[in-house]
Amino acid sequence: MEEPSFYPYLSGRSNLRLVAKLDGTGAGAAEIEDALRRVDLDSRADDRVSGYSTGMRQRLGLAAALLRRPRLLLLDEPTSGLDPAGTRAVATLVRDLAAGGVAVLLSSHQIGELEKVCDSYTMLRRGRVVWGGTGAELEAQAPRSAYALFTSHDDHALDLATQVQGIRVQRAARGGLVVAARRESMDELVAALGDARVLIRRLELVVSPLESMFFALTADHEGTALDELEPQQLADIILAGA
Amino acid sequence: MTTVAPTAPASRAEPRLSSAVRNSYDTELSKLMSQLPTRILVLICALGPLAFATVLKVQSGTPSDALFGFWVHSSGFAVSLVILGFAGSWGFPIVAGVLAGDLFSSEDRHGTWKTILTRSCTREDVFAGKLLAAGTCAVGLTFVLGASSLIAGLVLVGAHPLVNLSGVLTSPGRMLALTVVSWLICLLPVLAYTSLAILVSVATRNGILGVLSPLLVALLTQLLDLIGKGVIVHELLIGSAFDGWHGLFTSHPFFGQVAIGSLVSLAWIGACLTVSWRIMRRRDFLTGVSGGGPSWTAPIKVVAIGTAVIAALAFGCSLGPTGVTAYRVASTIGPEFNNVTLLQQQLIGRRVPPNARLYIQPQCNRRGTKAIGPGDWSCTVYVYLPQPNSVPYQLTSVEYDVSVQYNGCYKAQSPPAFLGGQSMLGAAGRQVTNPLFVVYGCFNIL
Repeated sequence: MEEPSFYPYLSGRSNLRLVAKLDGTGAGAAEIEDALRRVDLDSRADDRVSGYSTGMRQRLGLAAALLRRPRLLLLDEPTSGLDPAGTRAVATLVRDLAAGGVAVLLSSHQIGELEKVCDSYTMLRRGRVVWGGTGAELEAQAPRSAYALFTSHDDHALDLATQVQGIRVQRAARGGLVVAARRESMDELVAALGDARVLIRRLELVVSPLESMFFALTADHEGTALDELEPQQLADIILAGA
Repeated sequence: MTTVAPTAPASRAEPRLSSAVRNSYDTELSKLMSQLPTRILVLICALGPLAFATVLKVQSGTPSDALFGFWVHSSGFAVSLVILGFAGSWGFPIVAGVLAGDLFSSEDRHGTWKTILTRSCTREDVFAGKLLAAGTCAVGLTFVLGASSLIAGLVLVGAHPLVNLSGVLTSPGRMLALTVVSWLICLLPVLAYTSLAILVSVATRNGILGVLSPLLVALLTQLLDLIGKGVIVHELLIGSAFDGWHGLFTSHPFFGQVAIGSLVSLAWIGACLTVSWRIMRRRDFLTGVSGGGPSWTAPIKVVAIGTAVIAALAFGCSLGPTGVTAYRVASTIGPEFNNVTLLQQQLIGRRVPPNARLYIQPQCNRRGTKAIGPGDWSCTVYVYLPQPNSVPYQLTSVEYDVSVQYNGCYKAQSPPAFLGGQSMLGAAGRQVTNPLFVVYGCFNIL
């Protein structure tokens, strides 16, 4: 799926006709039109592939996969090289496929992209599975997430943050604070800032639970179980990632 | 990392081999016919002969150096045969190169090997489909070119009798049959060139080399035809197989060259496709490295092997019996001179008794240092004319400049002062082509 290749001198529709023919699945014009419509290429289907953008080629690759009426779809870096709109379109398509009963195994290093579409995750480290579970399990088991916090009084906010249990905080190099915390601790900090009349100007999730889990599991602490990691160690890993 | 909505797997029947090959064949045919070079070739093959015949129609000149070229204004069959001669030398190699020379390498260029090999077909299916598609297109274009040349000739010039390569006027029906058979004979060597282009395309993964390879081999064949006297190496070249049809156009047809040419073509097809398949089978498409080594070395290997082969061929092309000898030239041109002289007399309205025969003694010598082999020859034809009340005959002689090719075909021409001009006044008071002005003939070199 990564960088699917097609015949540049043929149109998108002709390329799909060829791969359908090679499959011998009997996918006809109606199936091809449906696949083109699902990947939003129906309006450009008669253009030569040589004029397609990377995103359009990726979507044409998805259309080629859909022609087989798959029960399981393996996608390797499907949004590689795509612009934000293309990435969003692929994410929407994957969600639609899953909703339609297709199991999608999506491999990617763009973790943010995965959180938008996946409902269960498997993490690999050096070819071995190191963690697997649903989104809810991830939320429960993931180490602290990292946030970028910009307030009206960063010094005061820093003092307040250090008083909340389970939070690790540092000044960020480009201003503001970097806070490592679970969701409950972060809620507590936000409430404390409000009570102290410290205005929150911006609060961004910079390291999500999935990312923090990924950093925790793939950083250089092999052999140590997740639960055995010291909070400091986890926070350092997260902050280093942030 | 997954989103999952699993359903129970359903069974899916494996496509049978034959249907997979057919699907691959349909796909490859569709790809080939979608490409601009193929479409241009189809247009040239369909309209080229028409344009050629039209140009000939509006001008008085003739391509007389080509076999039957002198007769293009007299018979439509000559138009088709001239085109066949040109196609055998250059046209078919171009067709084969364009069709098959980029057939495999284009998948490398476009990065589409994974696209087709990850569908429901094996590399055997893909290989077979490509071969069949290239073969179909090559045969199809040969038919288009042959049909177009025949139609152009017959429509623009007419289905008139044609003087054959023994100097005998041959009926349109027989000429039509011979012309059609001649085009059919060329199918095997066309497929041999196609197989060669496929081999180069697979081995080098270089489209340019693949397209040019049949043309280079055709050029090599032409050059080797100019040197050496032996027939063995010449007969092993694909290009020589296109000469087989010449023997059909003599009064005593010979079929040795057709048989050998067909066998040689089959051998080339078998060898090229076997090696191609071995390379294809061993290739690692995942890493892009073939069993034979990195791809950048392939063109160098091909050039090195090609150079060695050319050197060996040039060195060996004098091996074997000599094809063109003074005896063969003289023993062919003598009877032919008899035939065309009698034909000339008939055309100008003189009565020629059945089985009439002149007493002719030809003497032929090769110009230059060598006494045998293709090149320029000089033939003196001594004619003993029966004279009433004369003892016993009147002797006259005709000097012919004879250009003999390696394949045993020649063009003989004499000074117009002796035999008249290109055309002459016929019995019906119309200008007709003088059959003695240019004489074409062929003899068996085997």
